[in-house]
Amino acid sequence: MDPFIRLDDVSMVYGGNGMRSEALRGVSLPVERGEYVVITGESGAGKSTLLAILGALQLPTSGTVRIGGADLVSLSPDRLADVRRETIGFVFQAYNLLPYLSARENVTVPMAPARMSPREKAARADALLAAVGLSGKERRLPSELSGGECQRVAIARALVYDPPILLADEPTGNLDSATGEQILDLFTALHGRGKTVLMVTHNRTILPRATRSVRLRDGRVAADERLAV
Amino acid sequence: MNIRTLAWKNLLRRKSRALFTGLGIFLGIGTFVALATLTGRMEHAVQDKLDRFGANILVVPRTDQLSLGFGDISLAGAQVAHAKLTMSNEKEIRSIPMKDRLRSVVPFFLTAADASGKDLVWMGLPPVEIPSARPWWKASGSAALGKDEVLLGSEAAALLDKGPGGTVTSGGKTFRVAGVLRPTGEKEDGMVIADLRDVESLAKNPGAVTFFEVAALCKNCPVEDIVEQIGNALPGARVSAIRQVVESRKAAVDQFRRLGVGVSAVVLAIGGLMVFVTVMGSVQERTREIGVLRAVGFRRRAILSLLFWETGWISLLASAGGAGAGVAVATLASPLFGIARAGVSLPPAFLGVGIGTALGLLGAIPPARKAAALAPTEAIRTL
Repeated sequence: MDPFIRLDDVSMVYGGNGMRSEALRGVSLPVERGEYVVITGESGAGKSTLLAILGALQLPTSGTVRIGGADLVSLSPDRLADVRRETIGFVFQAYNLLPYLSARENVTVPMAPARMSPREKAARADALLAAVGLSGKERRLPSELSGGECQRVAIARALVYDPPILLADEPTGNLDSATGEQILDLFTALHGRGKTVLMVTHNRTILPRATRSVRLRDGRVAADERLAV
Repeated sequence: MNIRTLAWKNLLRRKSRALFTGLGIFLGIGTFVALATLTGRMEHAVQDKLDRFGANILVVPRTDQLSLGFGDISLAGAQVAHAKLTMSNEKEIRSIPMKDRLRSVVPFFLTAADASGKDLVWMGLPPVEIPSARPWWKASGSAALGKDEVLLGSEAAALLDKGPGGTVTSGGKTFRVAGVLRPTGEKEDGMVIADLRDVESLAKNPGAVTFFEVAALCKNCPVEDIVEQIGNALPGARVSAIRQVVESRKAAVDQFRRLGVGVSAVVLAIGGLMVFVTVMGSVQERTREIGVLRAVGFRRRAILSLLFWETGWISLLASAGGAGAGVAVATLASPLFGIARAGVSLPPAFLGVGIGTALGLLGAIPPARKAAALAPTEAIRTL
């Protein structure tokens, strides 16, 4: 059976005319459903590019990317948007919340184009905020929340369509260690509920929580280990 | 939360930018509505004044020109009238379907007769019609005719060596000179002007009319329609619009309209450009935000829709405000342009709101397309 996520010989080249930079060089990476993959590597190793390709934010220069059987390279930009919305939840290091919206409204943003009643959207957002421990803070603006709370809002937003895949780009990078641990607990809990988690990080202390570690170096997979949980 | 509320909240967040974007449309539509309202009122005022300034239709007996000659030798010509005009024709003219449009129907009678020993052309018309039929007449003495009085054209007065208070005799009757007309450059400079009935008596032709001058109010009707109706009422007459008068009136009114359209077009273009520049700036500023929206699954159409709603809200509100301000300015400024008629003219205001909203949306097309084409990776790249 095919893996849930499959990258075959994926390369990504930026620039041209003498400014050519190879971010990824022939990366092949199969990921099974329910895995918790931690992607590590030095700065410039290609981690964020790999995550952007896995998250359907970017298409590779060459190679194939399949998620749940769909070949992302062959999809139109709008179909890629559908994949991002329904299949992938993305958590950014800097949260990327809209500063003029409350926590509840930020969580409902992905549902804005959907034909659902406002009440239904709000109820779903409130349930997700409660699930990440933010009950009672639905009306607060990001500026009124701590970094950890903002990241929880971002996680709730990522879960709004209950996607099977969660991608996280340094989700604890802007947080103190105690708050970072709480966020990692949240990811562990989500993985426990069957989500496939792929997390880019410099923080190797996360490794014990993961089922697999992939280390990149110079755009190539330098190490790919299964971890005992 | 839907696209509309997201757009509205973003506008509230960037109030000064929204105000600046709206300002261009507000000023553009305000100017457009003010000018359109003012020029509309001026058109009416000018047309009213022009309609009251002399006749625009001439009714004369229908004639055929007969050529008299022998071979290549032309001896003379003669006009053969099919019918003569009489005072009773006035009633027929006033009975046409568009009779409400007739401001005045003035009979004239012309005849050559003796005036204190000199042969001159006498022109007769009802004295009460002089102010409306010949409002441009200025006279030394009086331009009004009383009983047994005449007015002299400037050349006729010089020929007769008469001035106001003098007398002119004709057909055994003595007329007092009420006034001498200042030179007009027209044929009446050489004429004696008297009461219609007096001139008819001199010619021994009571009730006769040489021609009628008709002044029709033609703001919203083609003068040709009235000409046709009078022609039908008087089959024996030749009815023609005085083209020069009609065309010059049209030209005067069109000048106002062109001025309004020209100025409005320039101001609206500037308004559209302001929308384009500010929305483009907003897109540049919000690259990351748009990238985030794309990353969480917004299709390109949703991004377009978001920006169009934002611009639509601003444009609609600014247009409505501009239209209101334009109507107010036009109303306040009307007296400065000599327009007495007040009252709100709504069509330019509604048109302004429509144009302003459309202009805002049009100006937002290029930036919105640019925003929709932004890659979702911008959300990561700008970190």
